[in-house]
Amino acid sequence: MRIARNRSAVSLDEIEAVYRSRLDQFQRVAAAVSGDPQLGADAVHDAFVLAVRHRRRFRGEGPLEAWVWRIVVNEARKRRAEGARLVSTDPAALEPPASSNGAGPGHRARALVAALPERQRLILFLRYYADLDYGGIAAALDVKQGTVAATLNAAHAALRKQLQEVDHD
Amino acid sequence: MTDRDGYVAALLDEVAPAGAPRSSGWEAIVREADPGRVKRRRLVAGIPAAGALAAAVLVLVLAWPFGETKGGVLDRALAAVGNGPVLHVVLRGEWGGKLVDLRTGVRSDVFGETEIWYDADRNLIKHVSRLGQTVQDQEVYRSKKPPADVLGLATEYRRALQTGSARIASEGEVEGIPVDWIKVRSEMLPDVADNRLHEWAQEVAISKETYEPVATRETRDGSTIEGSRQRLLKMEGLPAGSVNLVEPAPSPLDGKLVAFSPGFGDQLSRGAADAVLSGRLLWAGRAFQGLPLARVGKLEWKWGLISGQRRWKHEIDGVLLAYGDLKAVEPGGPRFDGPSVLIRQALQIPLGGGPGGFGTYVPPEGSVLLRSGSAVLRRDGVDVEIQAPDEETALAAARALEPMPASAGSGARR
Repeated sequence: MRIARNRSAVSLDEIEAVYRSRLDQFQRVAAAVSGDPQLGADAVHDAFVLAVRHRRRFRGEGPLEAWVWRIVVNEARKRRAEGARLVSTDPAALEPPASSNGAGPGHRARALVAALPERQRLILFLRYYADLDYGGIAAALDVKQGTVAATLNAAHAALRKQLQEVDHD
Repeated sequence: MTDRDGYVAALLDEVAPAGAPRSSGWEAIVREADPGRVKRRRLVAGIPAAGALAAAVLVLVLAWPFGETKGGVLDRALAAVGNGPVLHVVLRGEWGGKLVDLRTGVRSDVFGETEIWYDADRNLIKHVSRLGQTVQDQEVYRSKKPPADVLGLATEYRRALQTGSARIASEGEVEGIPVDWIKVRSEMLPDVADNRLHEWAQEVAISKETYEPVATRETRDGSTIEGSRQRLLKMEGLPAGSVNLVEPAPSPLDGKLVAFSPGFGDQLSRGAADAVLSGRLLWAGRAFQGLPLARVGKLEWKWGLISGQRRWKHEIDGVLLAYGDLKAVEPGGPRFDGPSVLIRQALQIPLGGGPGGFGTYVPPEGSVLLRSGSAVLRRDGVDVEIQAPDEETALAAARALEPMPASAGSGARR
């Protein structure tokens, strides 16, 4: 009898379930990566269009959610790369504009985070906004869990250092 | 330091405050991924994917003659499709199957096709999908503007034509037709998997003899992306007003979602299962190819969710017969030790849906439609889908089906 294991394939319903259960986290991460909430929302939309369109390419070699996260992150990075509203990494951005009353803590926070290496930023966003554990982050970014832990630790240290420097200036 | 730092959390809250999702909606996503998919999905739980079809159509929409270009292959290709404002495209999808005569074993192809008219002047799109000439779904919808990626692609394509920068990427063959692959659009996209940029491109194959487009594909770094190639059967520019793009009458079965139980929740006795199918339950015996009948379950199809009332306009029950060494039924699904064969049945195939998820297509009596290890057939008025590890097993199960004897239905075990 020629029988093998039943083939598994991701269904539209499974992708929809991921979308509905994690939409706010996807959009928050994408907003942070792209630098703008609307760009983030667009990135999530386009990412799921791609996921639906190319779902046959999901081989089931890892969690579906990780596969979707990877697409979302790629789309968000793409938007940032397109330079629509890029967050400045210029050290001068650490200083609020003199004429701006709106350049409060949010402005400083964005500049501090933007100054981090990209991998640190991505891992921070996935850890804090998406509440992914090390395994989830590792699967989403295709890195080892040890790398996640080390990078997260480095990001924490860098941010604390920068916060102290800014506070002392 | 813990893996979540309070200061960092506060900082990140400032960077991207939590807020209500700005959702464009799931339906919009599905529609953009595959315009024909939305209604199919509403009605069909498992209809084969045709996501790449829409992408192919978008490419063709964009590969439209925007104006005079320099001579050569591209010029001839543009001339071959005409210049009417209503684009008419027929694509052969990958969601067809093989029709097999159960008696003779003779096989023939059943193709899934998608036909689309796009009237840019009126922003109207008509979409018809067929399987073996049976209309599975059709709709006409208005789009205020093409999706952003289409606009971008159109701009690039027009510029490439006007400047002569469009180029032949490679030569090849499509179903015996010598072709030139024309790169329509390409961009470098990052992939976090290797942290490198890769070229993604959409290409159209032009017949070397007729200059008519015959296929589309996507490539990554010059290699065809698996499953992305679509056969193009027709592309022409029709005169304005030559096609009446009328909204189809609303389907009485229209709804937002199809839901169904997998048959591993509610367990039925054989007698009760037979009753669900009005005494016409088909089975493959107490065991099939050494696999015992492990479970008889109830299936439910529901569609047309009535918003706010948590009830459905339409519900149909069916039966699942599971053959195999069923070890456990877990939240993620059943766990078999070894192979399994699942046989789903229903009396009234939901329009556009049904056990096999092949839409309204029904194979002729005595034949089976095969696809990806699944078989769909109609026998004695019962619609059946067989899910097996391979086609031969599915065919064997189809041949083994017979009415369940009354004595089996009164058995104590399930």
